[in-house]
Amino acid sequence: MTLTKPTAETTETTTTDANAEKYLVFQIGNETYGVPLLQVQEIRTYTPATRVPNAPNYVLGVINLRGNIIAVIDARTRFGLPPLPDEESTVVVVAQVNDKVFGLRLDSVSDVMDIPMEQVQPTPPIASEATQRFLSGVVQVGERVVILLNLREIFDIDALSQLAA
Amino acid sequence: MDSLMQLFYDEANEMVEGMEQVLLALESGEPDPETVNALFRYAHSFKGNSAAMGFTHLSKFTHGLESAMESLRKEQRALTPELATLMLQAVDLIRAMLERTRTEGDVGDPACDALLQQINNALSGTGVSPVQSSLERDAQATPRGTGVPPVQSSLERDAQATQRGTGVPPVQSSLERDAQATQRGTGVPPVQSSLERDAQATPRGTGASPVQDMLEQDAQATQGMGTPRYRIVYQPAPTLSAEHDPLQLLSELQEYGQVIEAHFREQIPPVAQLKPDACYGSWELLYETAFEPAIVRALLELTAEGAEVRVEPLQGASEPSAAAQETPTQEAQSVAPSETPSVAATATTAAVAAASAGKTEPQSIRVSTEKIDALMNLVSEIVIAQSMLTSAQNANTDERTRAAITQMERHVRDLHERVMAIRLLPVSYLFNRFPRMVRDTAAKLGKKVNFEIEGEETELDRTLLESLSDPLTHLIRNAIDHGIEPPDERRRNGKPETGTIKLSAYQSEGRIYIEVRDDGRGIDTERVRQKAIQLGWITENDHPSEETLYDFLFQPGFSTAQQVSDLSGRGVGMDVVKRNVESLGGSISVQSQRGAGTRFLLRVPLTLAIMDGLGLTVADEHYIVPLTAVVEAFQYDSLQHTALFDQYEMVNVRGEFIPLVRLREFVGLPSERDGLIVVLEQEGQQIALLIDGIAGQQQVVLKSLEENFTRVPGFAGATILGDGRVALILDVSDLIRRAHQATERYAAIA
Repeated sequence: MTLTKPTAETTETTTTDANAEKYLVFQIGNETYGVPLLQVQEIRTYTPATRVPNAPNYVLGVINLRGNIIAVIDARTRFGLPPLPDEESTVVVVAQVNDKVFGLRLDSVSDVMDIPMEQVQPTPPIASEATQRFLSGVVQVGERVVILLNLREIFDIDALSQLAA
Repeated sequence: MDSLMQLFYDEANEMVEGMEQVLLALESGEPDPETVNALFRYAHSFKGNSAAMGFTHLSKFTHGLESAMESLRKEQRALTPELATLMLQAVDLIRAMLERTRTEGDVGDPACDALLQQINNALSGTGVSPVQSSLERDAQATPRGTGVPPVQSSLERDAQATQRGTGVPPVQSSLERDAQATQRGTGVPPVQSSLERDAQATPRGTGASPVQDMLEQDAQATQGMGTPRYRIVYQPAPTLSAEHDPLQLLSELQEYGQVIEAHFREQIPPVAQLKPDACYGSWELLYETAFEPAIVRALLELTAEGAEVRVEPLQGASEPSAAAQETPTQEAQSVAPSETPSVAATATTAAVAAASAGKTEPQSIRVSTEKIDALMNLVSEIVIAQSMLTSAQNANTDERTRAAITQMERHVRDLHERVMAIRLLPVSYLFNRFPRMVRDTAAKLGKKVNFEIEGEETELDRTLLESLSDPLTHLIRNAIDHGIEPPDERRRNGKPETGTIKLSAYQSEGRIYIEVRDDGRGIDTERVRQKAIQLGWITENDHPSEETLYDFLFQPGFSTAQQVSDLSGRGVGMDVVKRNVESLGGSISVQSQRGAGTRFLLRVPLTLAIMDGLGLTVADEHYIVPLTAVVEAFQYDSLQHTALFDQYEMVNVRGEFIPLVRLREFVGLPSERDGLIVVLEQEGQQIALLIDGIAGQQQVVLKSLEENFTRVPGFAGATILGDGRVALILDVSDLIRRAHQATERYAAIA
């Protein structure tokens, strides 16, 4: 029997600072938001999704990601903002949460930033209870305030599975 | 589970299945030495693997089993039904223990020791081998007449000692040793074997190495002592690798026999000159074992990965192998006993060995289904990209580009087909489970059944194969229970006592056909009719056609078994079989002739991943229904329309009222007055689906919505259209269920 030892996952730390993590940052409205770059698989231009009947309004539908069917969620609708029409800058950030791959539709992405994790502060109660759970903290980087997002809550699979009920 | 464990379980399951198949083959056929060796190899590898994973109880039990198999092989016994049952029980026990290791780790089972004891008792008590010295036969004949004389009992004890231990017992009765010597000569009477010894004692050609000469002298000296000797030459692979453990090889050898002498064949360089990654130490052994050369070789192959190993028998015509014939001495040897009858036997063993060399190592690799799926997805993407490229051609496209696109199209299609084929498995993967079940079921019911399999090389999608397991199990059980008559009844009817059940598979017109045919009593249509009357499905005066009566068999709650057995005939089953097959996009039909037998025919698609779909449109949206569910389509006419309480809409199709479902409403779009009606049917129930238009028929690749998203009620999945867009596939049974529930609710109110 040929047995090969399972190789440990090599998670290379791309950060220069030991306590900094890379975040993908983007604008929604006037605010800057960030998601952990490690969770992001790719960024692709938005192609219209196929509507899924009876799905919540923030689920735009499903798209074809190299033969896999993934759902696309509209970030603005999810945060209770009116959606914007498709532009050339409109993108889908493909991210993996809990073994499931999702797409998040954004108006644009701006940058990748090193976020010093020790400077992250708990979210102040600025947002409503409902949107509060989407946020995992805020951090001041230079002159910008970046709101860190909790993708697990945004893609909320539990809520989606009520569809099936 | 980590990949190491996964690999262990994958291989372990294969070995357990292998053992089972070999046992069944042995039971039904002649004791073929190669088959017994295969059994031995499975047990041996299993033992090694489970020991490596730290499952000591499993490896201990397999070890005991292996010893039993070894004595079976050594004495060339036929597998008695009793032994076969015990051995199969052992395989079941291994399987159960293996399953328990997943959750409980290394745990023992009290049944182990008892079962081993039973097997050993069975081995020592029964089965006079076809080739046995007259001495031993005489000795055994005596106790059967009289009681048990002390001589015999001591003999038997010896025999048992051999079976329990692995190799050669330290003290062996000379009686038995003689018997073994005779057996090795394959049927040569004792006188002849001494002749043979003489022939071998004659001087051989020169040119052998000093070591070899010495070894041979030793071998000569021990001739006739009973245990064959081998010269084993070991040449390690030039570089060290993790899989390579010469020490283990030596300990394995010690376990199965005795190393008499060992020599290094090469000079090991001084430490300063040693290369760190090189492997030194080629050696030569004089080895003594009661095992056959094929076994010794198999043993070495298992442990000596990468290394070169030569095994040369130093005695008689026990088995001249390809390796053995390389040396001049062995050539002389194979010439010497040319007049003895053993030559014929020799030739056949060599042929068997040659044949086995070809078949033991299948030319295949293990690839996870995930990787194949990923490849599949990628190819589907290429197909889509290709169709985009094809449609991008226009009047201005130059000739060269056109030619390139056409050629590309052909290659992409080929590639697609090839990749699809990877997912297909031969049906033998499924069919091989049934001989065991047939054997056990027939034995339980006191029936004699000859089970035949045909077309096992037919290929089918793996997931589909799994889903066919239950329906086929049921059909075959039914055939044994209800189809095949008891032996005395068959005899009375002038049929052979042993009934035949034939399971066959073939491909035709892009579909797979699987047939379960028996030569039993057939379906009693009159009894089916009586039962239907009893159930209130028809009246006394109804005389439905044969087909209608057969259809009743597939209705829930129908069973004609006069006697409810614990195997079948509980009134559930055939309807489940039908539903399962239909859920795979297949169908089932039955033909039967009274007194002559019954034939069930299953038609299933080649693969679950692809199906024929019909594209339906509402507004600018596109949905797919499986073509198999579509009965007919026609222009909607409001005259056909009826609504009960303005709520439960029905369509009158040639006098039959079918519930109407508006697809627009179902998917949350505003209703339209006009459109097309598509009648969909599943499990005998229909709905009329109102749509805007039909987009045409196409092959679609079924994709899961659940994998990355969630289950969506009313939809069976999704697919990717030629332009790369996603279309949802309607779940017809769900639509039908909803519509009929609604109408039933209405019926309850009314």
